[in-house]
Amino acid sequence: RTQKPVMTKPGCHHVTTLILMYKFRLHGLVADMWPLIRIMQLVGFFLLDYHEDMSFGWTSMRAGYAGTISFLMVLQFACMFLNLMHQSDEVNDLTANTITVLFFVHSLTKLAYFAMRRGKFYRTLATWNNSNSHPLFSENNARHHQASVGSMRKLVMYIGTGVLLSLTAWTSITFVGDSVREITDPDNANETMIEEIPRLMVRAWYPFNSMSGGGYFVAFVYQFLWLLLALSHSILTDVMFCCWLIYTCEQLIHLKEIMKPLMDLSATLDTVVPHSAELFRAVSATNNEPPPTAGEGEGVRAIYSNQHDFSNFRLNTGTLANINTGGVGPNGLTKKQELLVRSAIKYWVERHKHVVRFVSNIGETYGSALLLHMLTSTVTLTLLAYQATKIDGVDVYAATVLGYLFYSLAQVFLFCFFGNRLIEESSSVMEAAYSCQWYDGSEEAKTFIQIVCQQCQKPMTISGAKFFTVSLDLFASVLGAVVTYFMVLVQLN
Amino acid sequence: TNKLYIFQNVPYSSYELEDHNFLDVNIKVLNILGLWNYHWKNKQSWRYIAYFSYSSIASIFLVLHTFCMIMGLILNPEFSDFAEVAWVANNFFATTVKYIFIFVQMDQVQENIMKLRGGVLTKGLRWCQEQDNILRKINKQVKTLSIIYFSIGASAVVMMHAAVGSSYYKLYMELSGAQNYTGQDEKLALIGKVWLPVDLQDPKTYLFIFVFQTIIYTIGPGANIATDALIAGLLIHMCGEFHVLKYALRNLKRRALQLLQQDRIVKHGNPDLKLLQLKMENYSDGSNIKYVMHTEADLDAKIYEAFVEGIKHHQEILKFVIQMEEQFSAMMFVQFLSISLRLCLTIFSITVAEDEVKFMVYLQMLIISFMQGLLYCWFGSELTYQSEDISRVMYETPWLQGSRKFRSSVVIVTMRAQKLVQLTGGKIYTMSLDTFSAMVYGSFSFFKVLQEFSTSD
Repeated sequence: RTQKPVMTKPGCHHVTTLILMYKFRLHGLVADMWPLIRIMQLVGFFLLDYHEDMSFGWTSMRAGYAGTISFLMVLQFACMFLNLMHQSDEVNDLTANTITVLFFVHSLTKLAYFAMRRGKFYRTLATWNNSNSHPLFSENNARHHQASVGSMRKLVMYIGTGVLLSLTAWTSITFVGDSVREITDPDNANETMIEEIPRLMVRAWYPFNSMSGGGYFVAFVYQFLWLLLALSHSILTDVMFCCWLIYTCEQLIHLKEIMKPLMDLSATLDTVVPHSAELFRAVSATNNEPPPTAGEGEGVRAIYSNQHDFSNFRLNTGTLANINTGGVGPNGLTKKQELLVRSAIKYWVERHKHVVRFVSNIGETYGSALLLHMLTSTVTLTLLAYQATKIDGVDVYAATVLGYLFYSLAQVFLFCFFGNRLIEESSSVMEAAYSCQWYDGSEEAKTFIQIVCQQCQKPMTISGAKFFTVSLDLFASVLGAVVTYFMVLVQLN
Repeated sequence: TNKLYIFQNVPYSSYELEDHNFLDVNIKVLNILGLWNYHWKNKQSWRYIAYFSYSSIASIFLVLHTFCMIMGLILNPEFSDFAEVAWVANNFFATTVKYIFIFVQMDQVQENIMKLRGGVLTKGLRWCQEQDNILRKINKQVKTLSIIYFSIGASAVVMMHAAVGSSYYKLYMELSGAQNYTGQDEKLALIGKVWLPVDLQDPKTYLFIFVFQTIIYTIGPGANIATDALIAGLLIHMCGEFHVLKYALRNLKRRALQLLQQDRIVKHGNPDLKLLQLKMENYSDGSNIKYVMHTEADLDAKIYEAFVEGIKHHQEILKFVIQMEEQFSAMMFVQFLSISLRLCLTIFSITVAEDEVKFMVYLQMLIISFMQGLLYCWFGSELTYQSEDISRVMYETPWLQGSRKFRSSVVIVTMRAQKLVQLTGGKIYTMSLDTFSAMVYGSFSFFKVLQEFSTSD
């Protein structure tokens, strides 16, 4: 038995959640996203809930684990920053180090953001703990639920593979080429000389000697683990965001698919529909099912042949005297069937409202994180465009610059793609509502369609704290900006 | 008011559904090029398989040729006419992509287009001569446009072939074993400058490559033009369907009376009726009933029925456009991308052009690229405008005196029509005049910037 977390005061929300989640059962979104949640806990996010044993001892151990990882991440970041200050007299080094530092700011930002906003994350994850159901549409619902779980797991797998590949590529490229840097000769300001630096993944200042021997080994292992964790941190919250969007899109597809049988059901209340009994079998509507009324090829006349035209009758829904033996309405529905029909529209509306609530939760939870991400990425990409103008051949430098560029753009593309999908799915609900046979439905159904159409005219979007909308347009503008800077800088060179 | 009988004069006109042969010119040309299979319904017949192999061979040829052209560009970047070759290569790339996309989706494309040629969009949705006239005019428009476009393309292809006319002569001479003829020292040239791992001066290989190139340079530009003309034709036809729909929605009452006439509602049991009936028969000549009696309720019901016909028509048109978007969106994206690239390339070449002749050639290439974009953008814009117009025509339906059922349906259709129907290229480029003017403006600024840089050097 679970309870929805009750918000008493904003300050002690997470405390209340901890207490209420004591009798923990895996259900709702948490069950669907279980592998991702476990990975995030492993990697060191402050995701202290969703465990069997929530006793104080275990919780403090887990908090300690997360705290240690965060401390180590901050430590390495500080070392990199110190190195940046050290090497700030050379322009090339300054630019390169700034890019590296900015690239890994993402991981710290995401860690801190998650730790501070975890109440909102828990609330978003708990949105689907109680959802409504309807016997006629449960099969369709289950099918789409399965599809969303499958897509989420696949996404996590792909991203995991991508992170491991990047890690391998980064480590291997460290061993290619000379690990040196150019500095101006302290004796002669016009000449440059070569200075050796440790062969590590990123340049950092360590208080011990990391050029060779034990110090080098410690530094290498530290950096390797740090790199893995940093790449995971910066991308796993984005993956969680994308999983939420995948779930939403599947829900919207479910709603679109049941619109047609919904209209057919509603039509049985006051127009004669042949084979009305078939409509009450559990609807597993795909778009390919033929309508129970006339097919496409027979033209419009077949539907309006005389037996169906009851326009001379004044029909009110549900209170008509029987035409057939027993039953309600012109199709002789039983009481139970009539109830099913009336509750179908209610199911649709409630489910749609639930989806809208979920999307606004997502926006509240993650919007600011996206804004911070975009701010950092813009600066990084500008500097990368400048670095790219200095490429003069296929060497380690070109590979690293292109690698950074590709990875940054790919991260932005990930959430832009899913944000765009949400926009498309939600704006096509109106088209689905219009393309079913609503003109045969009752007045009740028509009012429903009217309100749905008006509501769905504006698509559901995720905004980065109201500054921008997350869509492929955003990605295209980012890409265009980078290309423009590059072209202009090339010309100036 | 239920019992009030209205005696209405109906202009009776007999209307029979005609099956027009829409898009016939386009389809014939597509058939020649390997993109329209007349035997697509019967997958087992040898004719289908033969045509399918013809199309696959043509697509393989196109891919090979594009590959050779691109290799030629990469390996010999010092062509004196690099820009021209790059322009042609770009064009060929876009053509190959379009060819392959249509070839792969041939079934769906044909099924969709057949809706216009005797399918769902023709049956039962037209009810008077004026609508037929609208569609006939539209088809004539499509035909004229296609023929103009095809003739421009054909003349371009002929000129390209004629440009290597001297090589034909030399080839003929070599193969017939003649010695010492004029022009013997000239080298054999191909229509398209490509990279090939063979010796081009050997007459036998030259003949083989030459035949190959003749086929490619007919199918390639032909396919490019045919697909452009097809998509433009479909867009124009959709605008025509919207016109027909608007006509139907403006004349709902007339259609309702026509339906009443066809149903011949005559109420029995009313003593006054017999008298009226006699009056009716006196004015009519048996089968062609010129007058019809109806109640308010009858007319309302029939108006709603006519309105539902309009709604179904609207739904079918929207379904058609959505199918078009699904089938053609990816290749439109490639097309727009290639147009943008070509514009950048041409403008760059214009700024660095040295002599007048080259300048004229580049200008020609620029204009051709613009025209390709304009064709889509213009008709895409037209389609969007027509789809939006439906919501304005809704206001001209007899909604004020209509039943409650009618009025609530009017609201729903208006709301749907206010959502613009836009064809896009990969969801990024919308086919509208906005895109076109952005392209023109962007090219012009690019040109100005380049000019600044070149004069300041």
